[in-house]
Amino acid sequence: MTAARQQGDFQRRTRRLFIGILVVLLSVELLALIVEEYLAAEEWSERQLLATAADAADTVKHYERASYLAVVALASSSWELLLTERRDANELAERFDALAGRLAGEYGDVVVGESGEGDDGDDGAAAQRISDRMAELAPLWQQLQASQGKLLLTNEYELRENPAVDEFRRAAGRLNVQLGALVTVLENRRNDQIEFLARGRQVVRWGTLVFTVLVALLAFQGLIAPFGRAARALQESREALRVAHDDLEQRVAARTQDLAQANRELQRQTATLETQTEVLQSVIDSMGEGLAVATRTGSVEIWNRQAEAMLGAQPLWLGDAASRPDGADAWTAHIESFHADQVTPIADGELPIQRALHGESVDMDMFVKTAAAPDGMWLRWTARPVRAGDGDGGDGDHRGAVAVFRDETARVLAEAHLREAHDELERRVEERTRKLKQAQEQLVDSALAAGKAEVATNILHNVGNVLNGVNVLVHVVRERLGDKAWTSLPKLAGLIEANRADFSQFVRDDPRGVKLPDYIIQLAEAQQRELTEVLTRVRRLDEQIEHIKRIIQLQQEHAKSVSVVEDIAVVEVIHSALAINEAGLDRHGIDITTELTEVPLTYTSKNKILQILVNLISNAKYALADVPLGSRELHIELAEGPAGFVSIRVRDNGCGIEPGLETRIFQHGFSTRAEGHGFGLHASSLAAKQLGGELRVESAGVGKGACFTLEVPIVAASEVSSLSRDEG
Amino acid sequence: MRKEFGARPIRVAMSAAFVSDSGFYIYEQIADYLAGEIGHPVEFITGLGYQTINEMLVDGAIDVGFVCGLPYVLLRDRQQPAVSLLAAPVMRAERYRGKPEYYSDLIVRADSDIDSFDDLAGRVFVYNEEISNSGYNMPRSRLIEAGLTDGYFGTVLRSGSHEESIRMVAEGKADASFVDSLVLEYEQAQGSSRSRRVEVIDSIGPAGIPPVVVSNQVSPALRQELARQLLSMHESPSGRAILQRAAVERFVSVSDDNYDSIREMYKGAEEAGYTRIR
Repeated sequence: MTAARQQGDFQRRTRRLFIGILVVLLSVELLALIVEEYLAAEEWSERQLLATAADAADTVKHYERASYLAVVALASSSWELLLTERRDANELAERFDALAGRLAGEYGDVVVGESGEGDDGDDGAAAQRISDRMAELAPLWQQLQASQGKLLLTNEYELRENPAVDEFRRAAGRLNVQLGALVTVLENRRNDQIEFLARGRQVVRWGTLVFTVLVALLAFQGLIAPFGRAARALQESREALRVAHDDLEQRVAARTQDLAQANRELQRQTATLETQTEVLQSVIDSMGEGLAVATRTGSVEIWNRQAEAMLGAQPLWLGDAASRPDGADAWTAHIESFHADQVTPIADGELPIQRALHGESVDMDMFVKTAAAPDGMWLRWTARPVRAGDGDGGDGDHRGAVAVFRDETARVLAEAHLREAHDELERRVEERTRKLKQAQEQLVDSALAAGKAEVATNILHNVGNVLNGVNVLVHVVRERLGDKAWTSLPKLAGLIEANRADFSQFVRDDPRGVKLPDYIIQLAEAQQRELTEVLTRVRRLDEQIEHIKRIIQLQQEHAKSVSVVEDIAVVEVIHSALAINEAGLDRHGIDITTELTEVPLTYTSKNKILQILVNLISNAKYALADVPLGSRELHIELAEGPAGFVSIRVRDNGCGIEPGLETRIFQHGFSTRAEGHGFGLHASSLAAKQLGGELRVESAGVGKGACFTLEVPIVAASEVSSLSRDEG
Repeated sequence: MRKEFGARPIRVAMSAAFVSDSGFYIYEQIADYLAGEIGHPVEFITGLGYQTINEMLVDGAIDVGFVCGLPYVLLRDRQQPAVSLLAAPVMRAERYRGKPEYYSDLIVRADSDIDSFDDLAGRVFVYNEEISNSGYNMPRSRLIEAGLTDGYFGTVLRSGSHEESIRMVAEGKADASFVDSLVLEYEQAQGSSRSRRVEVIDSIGPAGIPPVVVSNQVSPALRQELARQLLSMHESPSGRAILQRAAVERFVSVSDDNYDSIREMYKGAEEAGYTRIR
């Protein structure tokens, strides 16, 4: 309502302001029009007055001429001419009277009025001059008319030396001069007036323009700007009202929703409570245990069906007998209660729930006899005091006690039977244990046998690997010794023998003899190179044979369950492993790279590590068989691994390992090669574990290479000396 | 009727009047009345001298003239009489006794020490017109009768009209003048200032009042019609109203002998050889 009233007021104000501006503008325009018309009328009046004055001057001249002609006509008795000129003169006189009257009436009064009001400036002076001229006109005109009258009334018709004619001429001359002066003054005044009027028009036009602009500004300030502000304010007010309305509706909707939600929650909670109450009642009624709840004073509040089944109808009183009210049915009236010895009665006040009423938590077994169970039964009691705020710490006001009890008669009897069975079982276990020890001993023997078989297999495998290298070396040496350099020598000897008699001539003249010295020199050089290489292979062969000897020695030591442990440099073991496999690796065209960092000496089995590495390098060699020649790569890294471990990595870019087989390849008998016996990796893994380390493999998949990592602990000799003794 | 009078308007001139110059409009009204009654345009002419009017009447340039008695006599007494009498007004004032006659009043300024004609010796005398009866003929006759023909006045001035003579006396430009009693009375009746500043100390008359004459160039029919209209003018309301404004009772028919006294005074001056007042 307030916004509507404000809008109505604004519209009324706007309408009034608009009408006011319209009236002012129309008034200004009307005023400007009036001023313009006034100025135009003034200008027209000035022009008319000037024209009137000029006309009056002309009229006097015509009057003068007509009068002369009349006199001439009079002198010559030309009566028609006399009458015509007389008539013309009279008409001219009337015309002059009219013109003079117009000048006097329309201008003379104004002049007198302006002069009388004391107007200053050039306009006032000019007005005074005009007034003076005008004042002189009438007597001069009267004199002229009088002299003309005399001229025509005379009976002397002589034109020359006629005083009347002279007087008339003089009068006409004076009047003409006066009229000429008046015209001049009027012309000057008209020019001044025109200039003034032009300035007045400019003032009016500019004034109108300025005033229009001012009114426009006023309209803008008073109408458009307030309208804009009011429109914006109204729009903002509407927007604010709309926002407030939307907000209110949202709040009402939210509140309604909250109330509905709360109502639903209340209904749900009520239903839940009812359900819980029903459930609780059902639980209480269906409990396998008896439930008794007593108030602080000792009266019974809850006595469930199971309690009634076990101990009879609900007693009225569970408290001490001393505080029992009259008529209340006491606990002891129907029930006899005893301690666990089934003989000592429980005194009044010592019952579990009574103790709970006194604030004590009680867990105890009790033997009772009732009318329904005259032979007695065992009850397991759990009694607790009930306090306000229970569950939140239980330190509130004491409200009573709750007790749960169940029939434990069957359990107690079962426990008695169980004790008997336990004793029997103990006896049987002891007997069984003795039998198991015997079986264990047999098992140990079996295991030892199995271990020996495994050791033998291991020896064969390692020796076989080395023998492969030996075979290769022997093959190479054989090839070298069968080379052309060695076969050419007997032919050369035969040739020399055939020309022994004239050997010098042969050397000098025979074309073959001429080439013989150079050939011998080249052959010697070739044989020297071949000999050097054969010797190198032979040294390798010695090393291989020495390695076989070490393996056999190692396996002999292993067979005696003794490991040779010593401080070793792992890097040397790696070089040895590479050397052992060098011939095979070279034959297969495998590019070997190493990245060996310095690691501490470790006290471990050199041969086991060597065995593992030889096996890994040999496997890599086979894994690279399908890789094109020139692309076969084997890379060995040595570094400190996890804390306290040395890490040796043997990585190839060979056939890789199928996903899922990373652990199976370490099992005994598993091999991906047709000729493999599935023992190498299994033995290596076992050896690594025996060294306290681990052997594992990683592969991105088939065809993507594999990386075996051997990690062995870095152990100082002092740390393992005791261990060696224990094992020994 | 109109065809009888030709295409030219009937020209009515006035040289002597029963009113002053300011009453010329009355003559215009009489001219308009006649035009209306006759049914022919009438042109009213004034401002010409007595002599000029006479000559124009002779030549027929003017048809009707309100002329002084002496000019009438001069026109009538020509060898061929130039004009005929149409009518003459009878003034309403008792002084004129219901007859077509008037007076020549001697006026001086009201505060003048001149009490009688005898006091005019050596004074400035002004007259209107040499052939004016009241302004020149009758005073001249008075001087002849009194034997004052040897230069009685100090100065003699010509004014051209009775109104001018009254103004000159009133303004002190002349000491005395004989003026038409009809003109003076009209001036006084109109309350003009100049008439209030003069007083009549003597009169000459009565004499025949200035008549309405018609040129003998005018046809007899028109002459009769004009006479009939003038003589019956007082019978019509419009005509009577015009006459009333001029203080005229009516126009009456007059005979030539009504102007014999004037004729006698004029002849006496000529015979005495005293034609020019001195």
